[in-house]
Amino acid sequence: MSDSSATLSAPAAVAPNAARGWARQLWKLARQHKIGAVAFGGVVLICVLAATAPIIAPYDPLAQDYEAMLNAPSWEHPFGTDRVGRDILTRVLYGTQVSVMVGIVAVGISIAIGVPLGLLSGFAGGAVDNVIMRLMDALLAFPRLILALAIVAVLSPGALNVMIAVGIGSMPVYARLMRSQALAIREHQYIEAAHSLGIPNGRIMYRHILPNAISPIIVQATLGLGYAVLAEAGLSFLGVGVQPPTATWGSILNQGAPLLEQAWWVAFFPGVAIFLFVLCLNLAGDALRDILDPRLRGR
Amino acid sequence: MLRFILRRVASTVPVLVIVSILTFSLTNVLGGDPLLALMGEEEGRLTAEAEALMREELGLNDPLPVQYLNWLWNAVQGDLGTSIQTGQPVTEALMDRLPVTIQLGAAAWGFALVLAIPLGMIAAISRDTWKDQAATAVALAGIAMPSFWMGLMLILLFAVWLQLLPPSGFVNIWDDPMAAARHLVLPALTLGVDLIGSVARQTRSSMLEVLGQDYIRTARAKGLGERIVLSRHALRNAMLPVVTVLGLQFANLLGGTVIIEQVFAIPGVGRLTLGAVFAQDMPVVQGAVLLAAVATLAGNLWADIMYTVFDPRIRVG
Repeated sequence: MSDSSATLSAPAAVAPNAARGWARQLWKLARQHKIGAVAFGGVVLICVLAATAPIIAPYDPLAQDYEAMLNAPSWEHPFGTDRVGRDILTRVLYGTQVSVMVGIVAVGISIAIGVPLGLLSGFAGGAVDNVIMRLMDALLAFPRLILALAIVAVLSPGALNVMIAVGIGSMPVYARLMRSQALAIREHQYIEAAHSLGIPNGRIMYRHILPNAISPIIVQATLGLGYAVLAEAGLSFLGVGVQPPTATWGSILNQGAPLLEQAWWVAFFPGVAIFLFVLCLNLAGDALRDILDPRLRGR
Repeated sequence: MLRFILRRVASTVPVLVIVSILTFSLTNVLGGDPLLALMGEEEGRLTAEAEALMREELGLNDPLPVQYLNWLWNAVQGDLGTSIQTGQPVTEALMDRLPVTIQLGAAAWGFALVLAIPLGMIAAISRDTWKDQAATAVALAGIAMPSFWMGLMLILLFAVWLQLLPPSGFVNIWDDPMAAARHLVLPALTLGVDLIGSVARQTRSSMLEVLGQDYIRTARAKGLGERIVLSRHALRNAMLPVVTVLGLQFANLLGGTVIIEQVFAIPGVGRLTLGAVFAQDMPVVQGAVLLAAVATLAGNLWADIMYTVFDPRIRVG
């Protein structure tokens, strides 16, 4: 039995200079996908800035300075200050932490629910598939932002509920994607071989189908993170997301909107941060898709 | 054709039933006590007898499936309950604001079609040139840009600094078409920016695929002009996936109206929904969510029917 199982799994060749080989391959990929590499660098840079915000931020994000209210961008405050004199650069840096975290957890929730459902749906087929997919169709019928708003209305605003709302709204996308992958993979000969060896269905799903279907999920997660960040920003902008005084990109924009005529910088800089982060994520996701599925290259 | 449409409509019915169950559950199961949702803070002022009587009258003592069927029966007849905030019937409140949202959505859709399809075509025809890169950059920027931020920046540029367009508000197109158009330009462009990006990318992608087909080579070989090859042979065949994107993006467009109506102070369904969320006016939230879902399903249905117009093989299949 163990011998038969071994024939099903890929040979694990461990090269002594595996790390160097990896680096070389990464460098080759980066040269082939220059825009994707730059975008991926941008994502990493923004994440590093978020993680190091307490060290690199010039001020306290909540410290109010009534002598520096609505100051225009200057050397002292490169992104200016808001109506209570808080430094916008500091708040954007701290806001990055919350926005990125909310986005990552929301995508995690979507994957944690959507992928097993899609896997089960595609593998089991029949009535199970029908019920799960009709449920996903129904969830997809709700505009994601309106669904998120309704969920937040029921659960009350706050970071955790925004993560749940955004996560549930995007979950059907992952379920559908996983189902389509499972449907294709279950027809492969190695799955048939696994069945004939008497391997339980649960093990086939998680050991043989899931690992082979993970590439498009990774690509979707990269693109989905961009959507989740936009959704969080949108909900916080509307005032139903992460609540003050916590800084997120959307909540800083919310405070900047009424000040547009007097102090454009309050709304301008957090928007640029959202735009750059989502753009980098989308470009990195596109490059990843090209790498993982060369048939789509250049589309 | 009619048979195809009927079959497609019939397949929407089970989804519609699940949508109604989810919408009902959202407030009546997840949302805690429905009497509290219905009465708001006034519930606390009710005596125990009055509360028991109201629960009996509203059918809240019935099992949940019975409550759901009663709610569905009323909803099918157009009765979505009454707003806690205003006392207005929810259906009436939604119908009052729907024309505003439809005008905004239609204008955004128009912008997207007029700008995105040529943009995608230019990118595909001039593949790997600066035109392609510029068009792709515009499309990518459109997708990545937060619409509400773009709206604010457009207000800043065109209304505050250049003073060319009004910063906010709404004028009905039937009252004053010129003023309506001036008020709609910025919000429609803002709402459509995401759609412009998606449609342009999809147009480019499908045009590239179609331009590589044998029949395009044949059309060129028999001496047809490039304009005819592109418009009659390539674009028509490339439109099928674009129609899919238009149908799928309908939900995003509807969701976007909530934010855009808030940014530009437009009294549409989106603004009504947001106000209801803040006021915990659950009957209005429930009605708006149901309306949005039904509209999305109708949008998807439209996309499927349009498929058959562009590609008769589908209805035969």
